[in-house]
Amino acid sequence: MERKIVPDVIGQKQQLLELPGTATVRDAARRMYDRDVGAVLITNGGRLEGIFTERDLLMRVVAPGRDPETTQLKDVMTKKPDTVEADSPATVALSRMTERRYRHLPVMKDGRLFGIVSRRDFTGEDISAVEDVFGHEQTL
Amino acid sequence: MRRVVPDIVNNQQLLELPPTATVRGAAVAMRERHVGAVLVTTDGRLDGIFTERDMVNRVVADGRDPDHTTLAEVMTAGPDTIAPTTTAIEALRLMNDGGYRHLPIVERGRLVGIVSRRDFHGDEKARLEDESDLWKKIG
Repeated sequence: MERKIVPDVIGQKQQLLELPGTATVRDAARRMYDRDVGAVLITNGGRLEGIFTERDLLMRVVAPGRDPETTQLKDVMTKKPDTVEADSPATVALSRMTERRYRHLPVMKDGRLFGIVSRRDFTGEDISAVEDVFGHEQTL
Repeated sequence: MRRVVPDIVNNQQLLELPPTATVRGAAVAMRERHVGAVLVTTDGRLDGIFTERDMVNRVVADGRDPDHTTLAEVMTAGPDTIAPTTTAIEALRLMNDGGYRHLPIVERGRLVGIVSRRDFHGDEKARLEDESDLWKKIG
């Protein structure tokens, strides 16, 4: 049977890590460390405004020499990120992540932010199904 | 059965930096090479590994200055490693057990490469999932 993002890949209730755009990169790093996650969702009144990942911290903050104490998430996040619908098939989401090289994708349900899916949430079988389409080399 | 060398990696261009390099220098090099980990070496011997996750947890969350922090201070010193002849399944098992996304490959004390989780195939990951499901049933 075809696996769907909700409830097969992520459960019904995730504890989301949400911060406002005015939070600093340092705040985000602390919260990511506490929660052992690689991405923060930037929201305003429950509405998704952006995503900030450990890769963004490396590429957009530390490498260019910005100060994590004073840099706000709104200046270094990915604005209006791609999202996936809760009832999407697992392989559709994974194909998109593979193609566009995302490690995380926010999940929407009825127009609202519902959760987040990470590459590590997918099973070997999901990955095999996507490899059949893309081939092994492209699944980086 | 795939082995890490030569089936998964072969003639890699490794990103190596000395322990005296700064975190900022490492970030610039990682961005240029599009990799998530740096191998910290002295004369070809592996001293440690430094990853994106370490950048978050040990540098920025901890309030250290990337310009004045050396890799020696924040790397994982003496990391777990595998041999070139290690099978894909064994390597993946070690990564799962340790929660690693990267694993250096060492032969007779010399660094020869690095594998990343994304280098493994879906069927290899599926085999390991079956294995851990079985252990759960037995346990």
